[in-house]
Amino acid sequence: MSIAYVVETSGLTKRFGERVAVDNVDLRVPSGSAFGYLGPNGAGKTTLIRMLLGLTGATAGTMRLLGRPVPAERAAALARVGAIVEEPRFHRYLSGRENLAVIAAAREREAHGRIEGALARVGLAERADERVSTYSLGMRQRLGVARALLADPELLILDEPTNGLDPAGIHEFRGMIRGLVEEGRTVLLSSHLLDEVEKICDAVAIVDHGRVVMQGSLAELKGDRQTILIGANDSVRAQAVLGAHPAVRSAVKAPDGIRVTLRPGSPITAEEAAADINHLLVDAGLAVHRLEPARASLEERFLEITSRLGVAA
Amino acid sequence: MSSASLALESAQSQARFRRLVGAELLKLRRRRALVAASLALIVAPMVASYVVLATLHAGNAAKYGPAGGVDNMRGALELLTQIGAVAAVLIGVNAGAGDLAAGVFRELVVTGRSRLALFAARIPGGLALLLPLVAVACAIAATASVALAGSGQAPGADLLVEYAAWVGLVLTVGFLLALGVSSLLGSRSTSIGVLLAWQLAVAPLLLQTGKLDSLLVGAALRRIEPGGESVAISPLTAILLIALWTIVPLAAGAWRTHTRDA
Repeated sequence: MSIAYVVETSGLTKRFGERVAVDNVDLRVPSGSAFGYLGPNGAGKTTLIRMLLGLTGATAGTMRLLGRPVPAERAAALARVGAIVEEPRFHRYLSGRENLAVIAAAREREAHGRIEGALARVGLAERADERVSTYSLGMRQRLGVARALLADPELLILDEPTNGLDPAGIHEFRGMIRGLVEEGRTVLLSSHLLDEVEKICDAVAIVDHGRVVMQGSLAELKGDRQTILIGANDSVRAQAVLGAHPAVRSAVKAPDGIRVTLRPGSPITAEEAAADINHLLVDAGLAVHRLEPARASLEERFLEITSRLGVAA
Repeated sequence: MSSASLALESAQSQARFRRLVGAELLKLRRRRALVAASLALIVAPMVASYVVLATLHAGNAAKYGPAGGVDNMRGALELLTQIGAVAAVLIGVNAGAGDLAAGVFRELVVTGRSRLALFAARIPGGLALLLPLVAVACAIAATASVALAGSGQAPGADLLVEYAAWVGLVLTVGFLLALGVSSLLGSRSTSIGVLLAWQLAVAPLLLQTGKLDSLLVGAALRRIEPGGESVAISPLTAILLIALWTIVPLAAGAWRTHTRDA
């Protein structure tokens, strides 16, 4: 049976004494997506993941993993969940293969048969019989992914998985995540790295001070403002012409041209407005050499949201 | 649910548990220092005891009796319970707190496997390392006590079996105590310190006073030693004491394993 959301939380809260680490979080992770859980260090990302995985209890609220309530059906839910929480840890005196065997023994019988495939997938097959103490951090991260794959997971929960990886390793890791999503798995990726989330994820939740302050698809998050970037030979005249257009809320000169923000709820679409504006500028005798939608980067949106919250606070 | 499906579920559950036990044993036997220390503390003392006794006898038969016989076997096995108890503590502590020390307990919990099952698998896993070593040590003692008995009294099969069972019990109790305490404390170094201080200093001192025999597991174990010294507690009390000294630490360790943040 397919489910719409592989992770659903409602009013999830975790307090450590007086400090609220996770504050009334309602989170929905769509099935089959790469979902970024994005926030600065100390925002409560790891605490939420630890609650989802049963590593620590919740103070209040409810959770469902793969459609099952946890902790009530935790074992059945986690049987199809693979996870890396913080830095993956191993028995360093055991080999990579032995470490996987230890975890496979705690899972269903089929998990043991997945060890070789998982090692091959992360590129560790040739060094699988060496002790983990001889592995680099990057290799241990990859072994952590291999361990998570032993569950043949429908959901992978990865907490800051690219920590310690070099640029080539990060690039390879992104490809691996996208490959897993293309197989129909869901990846919940917690990170403080905006660029990483933007490159890997389809949807994102932004968390700050333990609260989810925004969640949605990446396109929604980045493109909900209708802004057009315009380049013309006479910026001053162009601004005057644009200011008179009924669909334009503002036309502001920027280093890369004129940023035109459309009125929200305008009866015409952004595409129609762009064509109309182009026509208007050309009719006014201006030479238009640039006209394109200006999408905010995730970083801009993130800073906008968190700074707004900061001002509000 | 039919009885056939119940039986199948039970068999699957047992097979899953056996895999966990196998993983526990793997983690312990691959610790080279632990295995070396256990051999040195369980097997080596038996070899050394009989080599020394045989050498002394060979050098001066008039002064030193045969290396074998009942008395020397008893002495050797009592030595084994004292030195081997250190190995039992080391194995128990590594079984109890090894995953936590390495940070792997968290990874095991994430599999969704019951924490109590993870805890329970440590018991047979640890014993699977400890008891074969004890068996080897007892076999050495039995062989030497019979083969080197000379003109002295060689122990009979019954006595050998009784002594082997007693030694196994003493070291199993030490192991279970260490497993429970280390699972409770969650720290290998603290657990080893506490347990060795108890085993090597506090408990012997308390036993010497003779006033706390009805409370101490050491007294209970002495009480049921085959042909051993008489301790002023009943066999039933001894059995209850042994049960108490194993069940309480294990229950505490299981509780902490179940409740701790991973």
